[in-house]
This record gives sequence, structure tokens and C-alpha cells, in this order.
Amino acid sequence: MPVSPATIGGAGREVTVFDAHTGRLPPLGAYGRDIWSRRRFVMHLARSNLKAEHTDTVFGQLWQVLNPLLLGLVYFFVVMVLRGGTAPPDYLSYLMGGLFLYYYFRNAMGTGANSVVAGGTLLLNSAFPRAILPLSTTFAATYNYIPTFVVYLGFHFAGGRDLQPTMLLLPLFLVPLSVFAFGLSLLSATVTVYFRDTTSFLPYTLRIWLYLSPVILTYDEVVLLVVSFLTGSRVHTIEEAPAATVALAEKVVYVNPLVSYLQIWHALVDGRLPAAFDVGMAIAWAVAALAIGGWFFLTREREFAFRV
Amino acid sequence: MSDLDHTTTPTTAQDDVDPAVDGPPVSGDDRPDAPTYPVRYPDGDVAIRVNNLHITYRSVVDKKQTLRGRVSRLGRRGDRDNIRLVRAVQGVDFDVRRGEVLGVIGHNGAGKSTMLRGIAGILPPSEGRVEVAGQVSTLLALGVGFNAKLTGRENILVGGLAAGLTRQSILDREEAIIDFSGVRDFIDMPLRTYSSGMRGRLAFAVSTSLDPDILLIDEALSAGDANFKDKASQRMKQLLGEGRTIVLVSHSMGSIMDLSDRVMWLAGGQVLEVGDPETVVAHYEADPDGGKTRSTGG
Repeated sequence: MPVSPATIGGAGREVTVFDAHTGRLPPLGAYGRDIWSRRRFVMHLARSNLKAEHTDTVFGQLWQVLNPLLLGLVYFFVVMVLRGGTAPPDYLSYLMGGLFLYYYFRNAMGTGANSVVAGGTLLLNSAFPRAILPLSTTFAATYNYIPTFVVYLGFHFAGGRDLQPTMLLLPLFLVPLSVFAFGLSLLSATVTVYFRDTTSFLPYTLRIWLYLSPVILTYDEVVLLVVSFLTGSRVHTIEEAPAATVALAEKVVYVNPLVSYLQIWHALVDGRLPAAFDVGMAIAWAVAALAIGGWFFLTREREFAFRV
Repeated sequence: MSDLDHTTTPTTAQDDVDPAVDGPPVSGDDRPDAPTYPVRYPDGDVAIRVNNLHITYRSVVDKKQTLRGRVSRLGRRGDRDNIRLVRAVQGVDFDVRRGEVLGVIGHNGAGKSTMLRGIAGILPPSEGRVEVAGQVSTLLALGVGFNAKLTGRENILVGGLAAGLTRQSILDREEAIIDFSGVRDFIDMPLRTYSSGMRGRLAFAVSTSLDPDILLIDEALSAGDANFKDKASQRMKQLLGEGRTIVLVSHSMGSIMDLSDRVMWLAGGQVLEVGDPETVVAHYEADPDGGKTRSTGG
């Protein structure tokens, strides 16, 4: 990343200059081009991460689908027991769709958090844009997420629902989703370099995030939870609460980035176009995560080699 | 945030420094026996230019950064017990001409490997700068950056791709790399089943096959048995014949004398001497402690 002009090499030679570390952002254009020129490396790392992940188990990569599937069944039975043997209509497919999406984030953040620290000798022995490491784990998580669409369809049909034309928009939905996941991975990777405890805390944080999201609870139940919190008393139905409080609660729930992504997912599989507000929030969260995570990562990546 | 910044590495050399580790900066040219330091060549001939390179990092005595450790240190900013400032490289200046082999010698901890990582762009300078003209390939003590869970063949690909090669050009070289490394029987087995000698041979075969303009080698010739050492030495001479620029770090004075055009003696992160191999190596070997007492930094 040339910062000041080179003095050597003569005409036509490519010279790389390493200036003193300033803690400033590297030139983003050159950084991006460097990543692009190593795109094969990114994809290969992603594939080898996938390969190395479950080589020792009988079901191998099938665990990427089996894990959320089994967890989904556990939650389904827990919810059935807590509700006295009943569940909302289509609950199983609702739960599975949400849980697969949550698992995608869990995977992306979990593997992303470890990506730099696990880079070890690669980091100490080669110079390359370090963002390649969380980028490749994000790709791997996305690879893993796509087959769960097919598994989801099983639950979708079992719930007596049909294929919807809006489902064709799901690949488009993956764009802000994966950008958001990448931003979070950059952030968690950086934090993990400085505090190794992050990887131990992360599963609990992610678990709480799951319970606060409309995955096991329905969207209405989450709103109701926020209304109860805002009014300071237990509210049993939306109708009981003042309209202004409900309107406020419906905004507050978007503090959780997963809400907008889940709302878009459910709209698309239900055959509806997602609300413009949901799409706007999803894009805003993706941009914010990339900007914040990217800034944290890029201003510190040059010293990562000292710390792994 | 401020706590993060507090232990951020590296720092500038002007930062407050543990006096036990630090010494005043010294320019090498005031020593009577270092007449040629720093040597500068015409700009167009230079492959590597290192200008007043300092690499300083804070080393936490307990290397793992844990929140508990952080919490217990909170509010004790003046407490430097477990943070030490390591000035691994302290103001090094030199040029390496295109096609030249620079041997680097010095005792353990003299800053050789850190300096090499600085030239490779892996560790950032805390002060000064490094310029390199052309494609750099590194062969450092720890191997190319192999993943123990992947097979040897897959690791060849990862190593090559990390160095910026295309998939096709790596596949073109794959057979030659496998032949040279002599690990053909194991090439489709995970790397964790390899002995350290086998890993070293594979790493050597990969990094010398990448067609780099500049090759940075750290102790790589010590990998493998006598037979492989001969082969490796042959390969090095072949690369020299092709006009590559090489910086070679080694404790083997035989290899250094055999391969280098010039030798640089590092001690305490500073250059003690640069010159023709026989003279510098003779001075180094005659010195009872590898230059530790002569350098002001160690």
C-alpha cells in the first residue's frame, strides 16, 4: 500500500512501500483491488474452512443442517410443552425459517471471531489484506446457509403452504444479509485479537440475542414484550396497550438488526413483498456494520501479526 | 477504547520506553570497523531499500489477552510490570541490489527474523520505511502458513494463492514441487501426519517455486536431512543464477559464506557490520558473545 512515492526500482517496476504504522485507514481503493486480485485465495480459504470443519464426524458437513434442525425440534417441543400442547399455526416452519437465519449469523460471527487468531502462521508468514480471513469465513457461512433453504422447503410444504413467486427474491435478500454478517465478523475478529475471552462470551451473547428476536417468539410477542417493558406492567394483548406505546414499541424492536432480516424472510416465504421500512433498515444495518466493523479492523490489522 | 489504545502496538520510537530494554539510537557509521555502512546504490538498481527501520512492539508477559487480566489491571496505568516494550529492530539502513544475495547473521534475538518480516510487509515499521521492487516470496521459520488439517496438495495451493499466484500457475508447478520436496507418498494426507522435516521440505519447495523477484529466507536450509540440504543448496544457486534478489538469514556460516555476496551482522536490532562475507563472518566468529556487548541496543 504505497503511501508516499517510491525512490527505487526504476521505470516500469512495481514498488511496494511500507511506511510507519499510523493507525489510519489504508487507501480503500488499493485495499479492495488487492483483495480482488486474491479472490481465488478467499474462495479457497472458504472451501478449506468448510472441509476442515467436520472432517472427523460421520455426517460431516451435514451437521451444518442437522444442528439447526435438531435445535429447532427441541425448541418446538419446549414451546409445545409451555403452551400446553398447542402452537400457533405454521409454527414449525416459522421457527425453522427463523432458526436457520439465526444460525447463519451465529456461524458467521463465531467463525469470523476466530478467523484472525486462527490464522496463526499464515499471518506471520505472508503479507496479504487481513480482511481476507473474516471474508472467507463469511463466504463459508453463506455456503452453509444456502442448503438450509431446501430443508426449510420441507417444513414449508408440510405446513400446507405453496411455493411463492416472491421466493425468487431470496438470493437478493442474501446481499444485505451477508454484508451485515461480514461487518459483524470484522468486528468480532478484531475484538477477539485483543480479548481472547470473546469467543467464550460470544455463544451466550448470541443465545440471548436469539431469545430476544422473533425466532422462537412471534413478532407480535416480541412487540408485546417491549410494550410491557415500556409501560412497566404485564400487557397480554396489543389492544390493551395505548396506541402510541405500541407504535413506539414497533420502532424499538428494530434496534435488534435481526428483526428487519427476519421480517423480510417471512414476507418473502409468505408470498408478500417486504415492507419498505424493513428493507431500508436491513440495508442501513448492513452499511453500518460494514462501516464500523471495517474501520475497527482496517485501522488495526497491521498490528495483528504482533498479537497472534 | 482508551484502554485498547493504551496497549496498542507498535508504538513510535519516541514513546516512553522501558529503560532496561531501550538504548539510545545509534547510527552505524561512527564505528571505525563499519566503513561501508549504510551502503546506497543507484535508485534504479535497488531491489530492497530499508530506511531507518524501527520495529517496536509491546509484549505482554502473559501473551493471552484476557478480559480478566484487563480488569485486574484497570486503573493501574502506571503499572508496566506485565507489559514490556521490545525494540526488536532499531534504526536499520541498507540497500540490496537487484540480483544480490545478502546474508544476515547474528545471535538469537538479534532481530533478524523481525527485520525479515518487516521487509516482507508482515510487521509494520514503527518508524522509518521499507521499499521493495517486485514480487516477494517469504520462506520463514514457521513454514509457508500451512493448515495442518489440509493435505499437502491443498496446502501447496493455499501457499501459492496466499502469495498472489493464480490457481493455474500453481497447478502447473504442482508436480515439480511435489518431486522436489520428496513427499509424494504423503501428498494426499493431512499435513498433521507429516514430520517437521517433511513440512520444511514442502515449504522450501513451495516458496522457491513461486518465481519471486525477491526471496526472503529464514533458516530454511536447516530443514531436512543432508541429502535435502544439498538439493536445497543447488536450488538456491539456481535461483541466484536467474538473478533473483535474496535475503538469507542463517546460523550456518557455511551456507552464508557459500551463497552470499555481502553479509550483514545484526546485534541488538542494529547493524554492527556490513561487508564481504569472509571478513564479517570472521569478525562474528571471533566475537565471544556475537556482538551483544558491542551493540548499544541489546
